Amino acid sequence: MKIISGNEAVALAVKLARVGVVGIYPITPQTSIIEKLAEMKANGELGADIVRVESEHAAMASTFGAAIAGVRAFTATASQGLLYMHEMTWWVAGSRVPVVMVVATRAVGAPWNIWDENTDFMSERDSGWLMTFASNPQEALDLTLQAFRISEDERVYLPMMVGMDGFILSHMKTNVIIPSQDEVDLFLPPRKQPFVLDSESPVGMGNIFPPIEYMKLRHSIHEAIVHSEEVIREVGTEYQKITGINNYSTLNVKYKLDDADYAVVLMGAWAGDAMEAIDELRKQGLSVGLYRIRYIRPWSEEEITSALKDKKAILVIDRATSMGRGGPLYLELKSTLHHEQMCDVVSGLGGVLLNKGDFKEIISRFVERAKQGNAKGVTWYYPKGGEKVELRSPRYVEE
Amino acid sequence: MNLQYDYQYFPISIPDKGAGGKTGNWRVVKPVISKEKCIQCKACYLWCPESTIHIDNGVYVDYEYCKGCGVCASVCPVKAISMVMEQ
Amino acid sequence: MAMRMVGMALGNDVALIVIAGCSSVIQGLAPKNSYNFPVLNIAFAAGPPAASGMWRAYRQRNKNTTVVVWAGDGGTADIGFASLSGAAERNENFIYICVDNEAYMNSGGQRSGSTPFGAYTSTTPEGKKENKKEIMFIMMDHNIPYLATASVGYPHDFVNKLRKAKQIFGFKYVQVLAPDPYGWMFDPSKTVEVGKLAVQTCYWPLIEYENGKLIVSPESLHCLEKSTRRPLKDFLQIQGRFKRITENEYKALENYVDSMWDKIKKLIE
Repeated sequence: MKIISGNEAVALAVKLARVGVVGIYPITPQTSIIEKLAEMKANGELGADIVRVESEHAAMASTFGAAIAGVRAFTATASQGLLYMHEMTWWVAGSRVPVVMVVATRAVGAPWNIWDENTDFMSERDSGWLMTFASNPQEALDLTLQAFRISEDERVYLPMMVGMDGFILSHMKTNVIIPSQDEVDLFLPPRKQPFVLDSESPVGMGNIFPPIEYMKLRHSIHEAIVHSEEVIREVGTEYQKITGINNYSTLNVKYKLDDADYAVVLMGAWAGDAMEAIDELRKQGLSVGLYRIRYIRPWSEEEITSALKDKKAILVIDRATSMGRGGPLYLELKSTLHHEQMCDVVSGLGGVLLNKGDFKEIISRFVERAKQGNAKGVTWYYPKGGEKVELRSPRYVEE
Repeated sequence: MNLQYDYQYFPISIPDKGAGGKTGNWRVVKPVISKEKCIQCKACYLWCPESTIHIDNGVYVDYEYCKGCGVCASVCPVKAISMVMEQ
Repeated sequence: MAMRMVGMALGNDVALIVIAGCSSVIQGLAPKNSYNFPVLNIAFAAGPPAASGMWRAYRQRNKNTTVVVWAGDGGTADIGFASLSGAAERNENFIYICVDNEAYMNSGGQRSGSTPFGAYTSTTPEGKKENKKEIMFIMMDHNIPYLATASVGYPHDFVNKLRKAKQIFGFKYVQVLAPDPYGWMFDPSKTVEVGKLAVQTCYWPLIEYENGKLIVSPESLHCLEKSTRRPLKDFLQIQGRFKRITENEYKALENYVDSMWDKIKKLIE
């Protein structure tokens, strides 16, 4: 166990997974991932080959080039970088070559803003990548390791991205259980991929596919994402043995949800503050629980429906937004659960920090509205004490 | 290549003849090689963009795929190839 | 035409990265592929970085496969310029072949940075107003281990240069002039002739740059003296794309060729 930040945890995961090639380009707040990787390489700890490319688009391209040639590959980025590599992100998903990417989320310009917001990550939803979101440095490490295994499973064969809140998770330090190299070697078999570019038996990837065949290829990606759910549960369950943290057998995580009348749904590091708020509200008699979304793709209709369908009202708190419509978690949830009493609060954009008090405020207001049958629509929330916010450290899930 | 799961379909192709169809159909004129004049210098083979001229005890054209571009006739040093209208 | 010569030069242990361009289509429709190499088709500016990742992957797998990026002039001079420069600066170990037909031919012939002055393209119907971007000099300034120019009119020269490049470790840049009958407007049978004329009229220099030393290839040696150059109009007249150039524009093109050879002469010293 060591006290390390989210970025460092990710870098360690890359080392433990025996990644072969890393294509890197700096962008705040992911920079300490690549710095840590370079440091580990310089002192001989890291076996990977590091390509210090000239742009994020090139970072994804170099990672992809290595992956299709047969080695495990990794890259990391954030907001502007993710959007710049958008074209390549889709290319990789379409090619079905497993690659793992970590996104330290950050607000998107214009105008410039370097602080946390999940919109950049969520904007990749349609691409065909598997998407998971960590809520503390331990989870960042765990999910990154699991990502290598899940993406390389033959039932999946899709790239996977692990998101984590920029600065809040990337730079915050907590206790992290770091698996040993032996444990990871047991957990991660040698790399598998659907095809390799080898001169011995040449294949071409990506030349023109006529219309129906192209549609079938896309359909295959869709099916693979649907089937990845069972793979994720399997892999998660096996992973639990390594760190002893017992919530990986499901895609998403419940917190005091089963007996609650009202549910709060969100994802990311601020789940920690939300959980503390819920503890206090429960002491005051409010029957609330939390459902933390951990996997955006695949979106587990099964788990979500069974967890939330009997709730009196559902509050979704989004740290991202689809302009003009509402937060992406809300939009996804609304298409899964046809629940009358579902409303969305958009907050935290551009790095606005919500503390426990804010969450208590938001949740109690929600319960009030729900009691009047009015828990609908999208609202934007600004914390009262604007500049004076505390930085909270994420906490473990202990059921 | 893992074909165990029937929903898995990958965007790959295998090297094979005729990936663009029978391009011989595109022809308007076709090259005819005069065996008497041919000195087997292999210039036509070297420059043919479509790999449709083959050397095998003499020079011959694969008419299924030859597009009739006329480069072979142009580069032949002894003018052994003439471009003839397709019937 | 040039692709076949690559096959002749480099043999079987090659992995090819083809960026968006004519060759993306020339491969034909899946599930077949007309190239007998492993081919990675990739988006426009991604060729050099993908090659950077790929050659390192092969090294890790203890394979000696030659990685080749096959890019057009649009993907080299324009959209892919930053990634080309980046890969050269890092001295990545692969061969970058720019197949130069002097425009975005796959989409119907729009001008690129590599289109010469005065040429007709569908986006410069009055003739291009700027000179051809001289990528070869820019790449020399990157101090790469090996650079060469070639023409489909001189296949043996091209093949030799490729074979040489294969033996060198580091970033190799080869630019092969590939006249395009449709875009340059001449009869397809004359492709080789145009490729030869480009070199003979000294419009397209055949050179090699190795370890900081510039060598003029035999077919271009006559260009060093202005009096032994073949008149530029022999090259321009055969192409429809130069049909409308004026006297002044012709002179401008002659000046362009002259100043290019002056530069080459200076670099030889």
